Amino acid sequence: MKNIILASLMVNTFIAVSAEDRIPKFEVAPVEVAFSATFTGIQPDASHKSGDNLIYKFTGQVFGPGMDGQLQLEGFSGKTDRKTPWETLTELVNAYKRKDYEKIMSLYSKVSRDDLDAMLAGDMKDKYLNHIGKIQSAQIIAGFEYKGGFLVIYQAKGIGMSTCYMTQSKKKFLITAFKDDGPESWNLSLYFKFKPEPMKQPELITKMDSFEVSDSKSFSFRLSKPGNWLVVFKDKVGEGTLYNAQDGSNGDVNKEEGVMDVEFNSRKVSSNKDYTLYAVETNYPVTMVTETLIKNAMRFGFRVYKK
Amino acid sequence: MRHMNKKLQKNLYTIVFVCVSLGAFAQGQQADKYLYVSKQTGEFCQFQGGQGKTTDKYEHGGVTNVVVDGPIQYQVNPADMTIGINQTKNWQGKVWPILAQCPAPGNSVWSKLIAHYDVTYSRPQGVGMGGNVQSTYECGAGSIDDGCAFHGPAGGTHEIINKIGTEEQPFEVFSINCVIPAAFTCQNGTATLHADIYPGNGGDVTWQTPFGQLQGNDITVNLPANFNNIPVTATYTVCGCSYTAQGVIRPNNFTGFGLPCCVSGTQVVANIAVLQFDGPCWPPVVFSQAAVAPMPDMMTAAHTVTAISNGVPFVASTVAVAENNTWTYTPLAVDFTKLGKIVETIADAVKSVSGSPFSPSVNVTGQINIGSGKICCPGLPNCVQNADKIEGQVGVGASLSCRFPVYGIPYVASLDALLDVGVNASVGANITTTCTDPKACITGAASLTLGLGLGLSLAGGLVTADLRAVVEGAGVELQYCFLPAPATAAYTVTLGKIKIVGSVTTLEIFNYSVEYVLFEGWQSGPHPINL
Repeated sequence: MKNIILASLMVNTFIAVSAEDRIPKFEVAPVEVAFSATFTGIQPDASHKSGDNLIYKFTGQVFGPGMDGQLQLEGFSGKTDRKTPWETLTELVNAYKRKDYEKIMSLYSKVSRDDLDAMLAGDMKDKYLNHIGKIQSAQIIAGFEYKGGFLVIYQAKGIGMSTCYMTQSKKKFLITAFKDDGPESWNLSLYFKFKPEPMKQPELITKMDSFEVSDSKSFSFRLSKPGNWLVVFKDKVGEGTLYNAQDGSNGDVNKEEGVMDVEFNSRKVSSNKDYTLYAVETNYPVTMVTETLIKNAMRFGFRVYKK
Repeated sequence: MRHMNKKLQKNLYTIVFVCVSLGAFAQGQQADKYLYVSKQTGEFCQFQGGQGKTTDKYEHGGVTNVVVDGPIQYQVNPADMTIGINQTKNWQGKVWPILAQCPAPGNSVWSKLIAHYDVTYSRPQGVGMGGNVQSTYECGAGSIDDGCAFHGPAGGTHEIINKIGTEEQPFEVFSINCVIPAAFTCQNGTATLHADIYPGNGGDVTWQTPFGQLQGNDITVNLPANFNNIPVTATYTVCGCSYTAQGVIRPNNFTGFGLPCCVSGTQVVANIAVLQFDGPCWPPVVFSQAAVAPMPDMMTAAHTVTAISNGVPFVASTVAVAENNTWTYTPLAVDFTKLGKIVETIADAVKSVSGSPFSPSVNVTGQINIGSGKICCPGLPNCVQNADKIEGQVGVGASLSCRFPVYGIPYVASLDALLDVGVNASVGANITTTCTDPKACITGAASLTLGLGLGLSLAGGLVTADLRAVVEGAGVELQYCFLPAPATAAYTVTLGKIKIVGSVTTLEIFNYSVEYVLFEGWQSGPHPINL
């Protein structure tokens, strides 16, 4: 997975709004992101496709390694000038923590407040407040100018990743309901979720060149990094993979960290047949076989026989 | 004008060819004509006819010599074959073969008349070809009609032409013949009267038989049940000439009679009998029974049949097999619940990861039965063979539900998808094994339903995820082989593109339209199952 971030990584600085408040510095620059469009969920985007990659260029701010996009949840005064997206976002996550619906509502542009009420009609409002109240910490992932406003992607421990769209009103950034029909923001959200790394070839631990069809046999693979994904497939572009699961997830039957087992039984293989399969290690889910997947995979084979 | 010149020439040639000039003349070579003779009766046929001619003041000439080539002769009356100017003459003539010089019956010979002529006539200048121009004159130059308009329009220069040449008329002289073959063809008491006639390009054949006079060649007559030699006479007549031959309808000897080793159902003996005679004329055959048929409530029935022709008997046997009799059926041991593996295969393909454990629910209705009977296999050493019949109707409904994670949503680790797979197969069997194929196999399609639910209201950074999976085409092809045992099935599953479509709304009301492909398409199989 090719991952290029051309933006200059900005020095992490904070602006003191009040004596206790710490807000990440808002500073945008041109950014280019390129990545292979092989992982699950990527929507077709011909206008940004170049070969096997999707390339997106925008003006914004990406909080990479070594940069603190942490949003203050302890000791925050509760009020900013909302002059940057980060000030508004800091107010929002603090309002989430306090389940302060009035405060949350005040952070929305007037045109969107009715939308929020409508979305949280009935018992949804209570569920919503319970849900957002689980927030423990929050981190800005990225933000960029987008379709006349500013799109923010952040990660909050307790409620997960989210995306919000802000527009300026009287020099204040306010959250605005937005219906996005294009794939760009979706694909960028996926990109920032996984930060895809180049595919790797897992190590095949099990040495077995044949087995009887009625036996259920497992092949074990060791991954280079615990928590990564193992993808096993046939060289049939467009088909679903035979197996894909994340190390440590429910789909990983081998409880040893960084080791995953793929089971083959009579439902998956037929007797008197030679099989050649492929395996790759990724840090993101893959459900469909592509040329890129085959190109980067390790190959292993076995014969299934019948007594 | 050209027409007038040709008309003059034609009339001059007619002096010689009065008998044959009814057709269109081609200068120099005339169409072939046929003459017939019978060496047997001395009869022959001839051409005869007449033609007249009136000349103008320029036309005169005639045939200077006639040469005969071949066994023919001619006669013209008046014998003088010349004509002067301004004269009218009429000729009668005929051509006939010289019998003694004609070939043997069944042969022909070519002959011809060759006429040498010397004629003078007039034609407008520049019109027509051939001949030598003797002189010219101005047609109609004076006030008095000078007669030149007789051969062409008045006016202009006309020529006086002299032409010397030959004309030929070929004749083919046939010596007719009629031969009755040594043996007639007779079948089922009917004889075909056939004579070899020559030349056969016309005429007719008349038969004299004990059954009366019959007209035509290759005609049929019904023979009596028992007969010996029957004399017949054939007379071939063409152009007044006839040739007669005599023959005998002679019955051949009955030398053999056979029946198939077995027959299916009821059969007419005459249709299945294999008869042998020592020649082509077969007298009528009478069988001791008209048909062979299975016995009621029995699978087979042996029959011995006697065939008699002209008093000579032969005996043959066969077995009539009741292939369509109601067979006794017993249930065939087939475990259709094993078709539940189809939905397992589909579920494995769609989810491709470990999900909730699942096992299919399979409902089977109906039954497949097997019955044993007999079939007739004439080509096999033991021609009555055992056969199996598979019949019955079975409905198989297999379904399963399982949960598995679907990836590709940025705001949650995964979505919990509920997969419902259903397969409904209807098996209708009505197959009988054959003499050469002991298999009883059928193919059929099964309906496949696939549901993939992805509802989500509040999780992670999402408030709602109104997503669903769209499956673009899915199907199952099945083949069952009930015999030879054990019964097996094989299935091939085809899944079309599966897409995730819908919308996602984040906590902060950022709404996406979503459409991405889980996989493009997939086909798997055939997967064999022992039922």
